[in-house]
Amino acid sequence: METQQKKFAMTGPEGTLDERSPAAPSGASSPPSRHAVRPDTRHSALRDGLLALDWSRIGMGLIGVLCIIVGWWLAALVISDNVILPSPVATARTLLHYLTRPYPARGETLLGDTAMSLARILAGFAWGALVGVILGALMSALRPLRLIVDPLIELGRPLPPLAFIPLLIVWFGIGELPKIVLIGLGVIPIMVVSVVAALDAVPEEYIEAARSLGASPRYALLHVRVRAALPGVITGLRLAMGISWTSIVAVEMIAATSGLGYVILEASNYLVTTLIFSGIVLIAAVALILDGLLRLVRRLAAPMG
Amino acid sequence: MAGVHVRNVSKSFAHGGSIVEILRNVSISVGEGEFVSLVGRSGCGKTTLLRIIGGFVHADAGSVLVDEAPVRGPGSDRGMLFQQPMLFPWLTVLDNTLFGPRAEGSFTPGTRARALELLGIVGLAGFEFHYPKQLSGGMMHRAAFARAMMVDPEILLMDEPFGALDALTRTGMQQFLLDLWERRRFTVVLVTHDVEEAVLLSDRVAVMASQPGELVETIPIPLPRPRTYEVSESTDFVDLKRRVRQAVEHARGGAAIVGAGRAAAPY
Repeated sequence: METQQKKFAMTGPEGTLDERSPAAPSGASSPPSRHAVRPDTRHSALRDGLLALDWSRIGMGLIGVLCIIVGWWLAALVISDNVILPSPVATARTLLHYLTRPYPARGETLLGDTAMSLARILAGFAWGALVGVILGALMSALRPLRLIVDPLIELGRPLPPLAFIPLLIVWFGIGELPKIVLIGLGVIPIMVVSVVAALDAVPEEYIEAARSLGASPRYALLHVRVRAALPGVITGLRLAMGISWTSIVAVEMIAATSGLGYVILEASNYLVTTLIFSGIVLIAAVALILDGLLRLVRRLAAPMG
Repeated sequence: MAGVHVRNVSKSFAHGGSIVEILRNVSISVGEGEFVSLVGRSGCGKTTLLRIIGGFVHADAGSVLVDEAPVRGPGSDRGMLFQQPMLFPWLTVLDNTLFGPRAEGSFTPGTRARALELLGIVGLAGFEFHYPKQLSGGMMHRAAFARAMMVDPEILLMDEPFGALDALTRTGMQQFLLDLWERRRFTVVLVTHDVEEAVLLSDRVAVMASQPGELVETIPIPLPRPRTYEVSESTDFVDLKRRVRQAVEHARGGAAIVGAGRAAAPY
């Protein structure tokens, strides 16, 4: 039973959109196993979140990463050309060296450029998510608004945010503003769609159950409808975070003098391939950390979910 | 007097451009502490009637009185149980049980102890800190009962509460409900299409016809209480079951008069 569950957890990808169907009855046969007796409800959600980390799954994931690195390393040995494909060791050396020391062509460290990109992402992500969540919530509540905005979203969604870069530069110059605007523009439609879907997916019976337990309409809205939609909204945040990275790296390659996208572009101009790889690795690492944080938040929001 | 009084209730829904009459002039009274089942074919409006009593649907005509007061909306005097237990998945069993008192603002220092006691009564001692997903189907339903009981409803409205359970679990839940009702003697209106379940549990079975939904017959079930599942083997039980089944079959409705919107009538 236990191993079966683990196998299933390994094959099934985490964090897909279907996770917000709360009405699905769980199998009657699964016995309560791990959390048999817990004396206190306080903080139990956090503990559950940490306990629920599937270490065997993480181990398997690391094996995959290791395979890539070994393959990369072998390929580098065969090619043996530091410009076309530097070895992982050479890349690691460059990465660690310039992490805290400024690169000669410019006065910034890799850490500083990472911080720059991260700051842009967080700023753009924050305003985009805020607008997206508010707009999505209003659309879910007000049918006329949904009918008006839905086609706009559908029109705008297939447009890659990058298509707007030249326009944003014309409007906002090449400072920080166009970058933050661009990231937000990518985040908004994703958040609108996932917030509307998450709120729509809350079974009406939840609200009716709450009302017949004495909840006011307002209490049922806040403590049941919004709360039940939360895991789906967080899944939307994860998707939006992914788009944010696409936007920022692209815009930093076109119109910036700092950030990881700029570093990668500069490194390619000087044929310093180890630095290109360093930038890519840093993007992967920071994106993974941010996504991990969001996944942890989702675990807290949907215990056992 | 406490209890439910439904007087001349009618209800129609717009459906696919036409008006579908769901309930026509339905009147029924359920006394305090009485257990009444509504049976009938699908589409006879029994669920709509239950939802009107619950305050989730407004009748076009007629009135519903609960404790002499007209129903204007949902309230904690009428507990509602659905086919799915509808426990909140983000709350533990205990926190689900405490939802009502917290929502109502009636949470006092003794509330938690009372919830724990109630969970013991429904057989969930030791599962207070489990999440709904960690429970079996029957346990989830018992937790839903505990949650509904926490706000001391005078009336429990149930919409095919055991319809999605397997046969064995359903039998167990019926016995559980009989025992709980013997302890508390709340008023119950149960919607079911399971004739055997209706006869086993009820003091009276109200049979409804379809298109439009009308009350055709109310059959008293004078089987002795407290009842256990064994009563279903007695000849009295079998006779009553036959009577109810014949009443349901003879009630107007069914395939012969299927209209455009009938099969898909929303409630």
